Amino acid sequence: MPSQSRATHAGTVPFGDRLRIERYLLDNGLELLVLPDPSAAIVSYHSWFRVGSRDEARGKTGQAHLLEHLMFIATERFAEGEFDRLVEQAGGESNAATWVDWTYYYENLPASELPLAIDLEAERMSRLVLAAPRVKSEKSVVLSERRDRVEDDIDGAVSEALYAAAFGRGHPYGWPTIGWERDIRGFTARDCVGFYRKHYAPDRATLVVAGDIDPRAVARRVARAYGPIPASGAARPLVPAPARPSQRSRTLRLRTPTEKVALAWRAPRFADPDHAAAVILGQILSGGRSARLYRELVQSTELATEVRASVAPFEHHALFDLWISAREGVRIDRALRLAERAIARLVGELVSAEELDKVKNRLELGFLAALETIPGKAEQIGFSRLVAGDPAHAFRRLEEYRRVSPADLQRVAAAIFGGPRVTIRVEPRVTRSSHRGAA
Amino acid sequence: MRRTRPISETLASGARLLVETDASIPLVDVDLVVRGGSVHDPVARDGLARLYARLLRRGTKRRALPSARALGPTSADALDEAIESLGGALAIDVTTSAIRFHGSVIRRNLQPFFALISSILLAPAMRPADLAFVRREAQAELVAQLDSDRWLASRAFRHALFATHPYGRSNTGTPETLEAITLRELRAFHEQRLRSGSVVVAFAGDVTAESARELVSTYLADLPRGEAVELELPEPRSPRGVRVVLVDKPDRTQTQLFVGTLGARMGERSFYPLLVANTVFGGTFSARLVREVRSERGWSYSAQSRLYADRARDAWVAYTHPAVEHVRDCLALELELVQRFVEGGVRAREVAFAKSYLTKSHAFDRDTAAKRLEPHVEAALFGLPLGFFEGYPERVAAVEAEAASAAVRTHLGGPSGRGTDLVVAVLGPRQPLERSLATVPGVSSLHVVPHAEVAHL
Repeated sequence: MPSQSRATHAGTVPFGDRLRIERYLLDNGLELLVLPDPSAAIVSYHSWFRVGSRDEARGKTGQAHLLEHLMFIATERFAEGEFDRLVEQAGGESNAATWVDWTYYYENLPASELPLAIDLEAERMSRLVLAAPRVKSEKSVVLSERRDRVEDDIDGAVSEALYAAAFGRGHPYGWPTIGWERDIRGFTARDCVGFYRKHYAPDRATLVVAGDIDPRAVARRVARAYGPIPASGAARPLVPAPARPSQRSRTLRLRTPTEKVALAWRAPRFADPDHAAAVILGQILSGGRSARLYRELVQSTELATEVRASVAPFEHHALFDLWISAREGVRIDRALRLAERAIARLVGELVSAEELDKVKNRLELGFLAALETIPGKAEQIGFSRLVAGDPAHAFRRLEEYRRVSPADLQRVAAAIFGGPRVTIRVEPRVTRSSHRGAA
Repeated sequence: MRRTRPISETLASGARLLVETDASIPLVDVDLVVRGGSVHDPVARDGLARLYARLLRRGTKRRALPSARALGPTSADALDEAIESLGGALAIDVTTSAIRFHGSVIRRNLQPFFALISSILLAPAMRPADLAFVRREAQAELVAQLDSDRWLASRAFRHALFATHPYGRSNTGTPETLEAITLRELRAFHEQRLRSGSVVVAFAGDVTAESARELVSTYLADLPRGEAVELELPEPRSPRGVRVVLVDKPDRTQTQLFVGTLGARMGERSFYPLLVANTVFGGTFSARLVREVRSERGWSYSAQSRLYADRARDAWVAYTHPAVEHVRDCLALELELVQRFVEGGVRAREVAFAKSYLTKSHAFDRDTAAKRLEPHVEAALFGLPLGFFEGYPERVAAVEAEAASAAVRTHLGGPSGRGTDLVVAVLGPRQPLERSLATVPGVSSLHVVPHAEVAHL
């Protein structure tokens, strides 16, 4: 075999107390992370690519996501529909996801079917067929997905407006991963081929293979299948710093019975230790029924039906966002005032050790639940490697949560909430007559 | 691997205990399941079981946790605080057949967590103020559901398919039925439903059978003794003709489209053949519905069909969400696909593919302790033999194309025997859909419901 078929063992990374990740590198730059885990007779095969919506250009938004769809259609060896048919016949399932920093594909299969996953994924990394008629029909599917998730979905429409306002429509983190509708309509097969050739290559990818498997055998087989694929050698462009945001406010009038509001502030990037503190701040506000805002807005004052806060897990810049959906007949500003008071309290007062312990226990539960299945472990490894540079970052994150002190929370709260805020309000487009029977 | 075989035993009280031990992660899932869900809601009291479940979380009569501090052990706030401080999560889910407390907790706190959820089940406070609160909460959530187009169309579909059958009732209730439910009725429900013979306790994860038995004997000792109260469910009636319900919601760019009829009873001979046939129709990415609607025409991102399983015949339904301009053609195509499915049956090659998919993918139904235990919980819930689901791969593998085609004819053929007796629910703008849908070949009636009225069905 030619020299490019070699997989060199590049280290072992502990994955908790019990499991180990074996790391291999191919000469063409492909990284392979193998997690032997005999807890079930299955394998989860993930292909993570260092390409996401941030790698698109203005006017071509949604390209990474459209290509993700097209990756399931046909390759030089596998005719249209064969990919899904082979995976399903083997008892597997396959899917993919695209976000700002990455795109990943997975197959979950019985362990004995690992060779099939390697064969299919190596094939579509380098020999994808992008025919114009299928690009056209898949654009229709993506437009349907966009209608489902954005045009006819309140959360999706607000989220799109929030990110655009927070980062600016011209910043890669400010446009939607699914793309603006006009851009999606405009894509040609030629656009897709160009994007594929530029971004899909072994040196832009990390494979994660987890399950009831032998790492050395996996490495040998992966080296044979992927070794001949040439590296792209192309460096990934840096994400430009977004313009300093100004205080912004916008109102959307949508078909909904109740008022809503979404707020956002810039937050630390995922790999920053302060991101852990930001996550804890979100949990204090809305993580569970005993969280401050849930208790105050949903239970005590009964002003809202829903409140949730989250911190985006992005590689370079993140966003802390807060969403409140009011009860029918309630002006959202009443709920907003209480939320602002709760936020001011995070900046002005130390969180008690008891409350902090509660949140840490909740986060530990979430951490354990995410690692319950083999596909869950594979996803954690791939995401952590791409966004934080460390495949076992999930365990480091748990330690970061444990180290966060009340003073850390106050400092991070001051940094986040002291910055400019973006506000998106939602008002009902048509005032509905009172809901019969509602109190 | 620190794993043992699942334990299934009937305790002296009559409650069923199920344990699946797997110590690979320090996490325990606990299910406290009470047989009998929303089908037991009395007429004009839709949503009673769910309101009851909400009420249980509003506090307990007795001290739920000896070490509880701050707000006092019996308040709702104290319960929520205690559960989350333990690194636990609790959801109470109400289905047609059960009220299910599903908890997860980090292993070191299993004992106080189980003590808490046992108290919630056995000694709910059920005060008038609690009822007033959960009634307002349930009504507010009904209003919030008006934002969910899929829920609205799905609800309209079930209402049209099952009519007055208990499966047609809303398990969330309607504003009117929620208003009518009294505390007396809820207390009676608690007393009548909570019997040891109705309760299944399932532990999965880092817990031994011995410690599970000890927890149950300590904290559920007061479980009232008695047999499960079974409800005789009538068989729902098949629809006649193609009846379209159009849920009018203006400003939509896409529709929600449900097409279906009655499926098969869980446990009946033709259940597995119909399951395999459904996989052929819309159960995978390679299935007929996906190929025709999504791959070839690009009309809908989601395209799938599903066979719901319960004690009586539940629904078989196909779901897509085509754009407003495509829904007429999409509905016509789906009606044609169903008719072809019924009249032409399924081919041996398709059945072989579906069986391969279902039997091999069964590994993913067994990759966590909770998933391995779930078939035992379901068997107990539906009154099926304990090992009923154990033979799943063998039962699927035994299905032949002829039996699958016969099951499709029998169950989906309807009174006409041709697959032309279906309920269709479409959510979208009345104009232009009312006129265009009425012209779809085969449609026998079309009824328009304003979307805000769906919560009242």
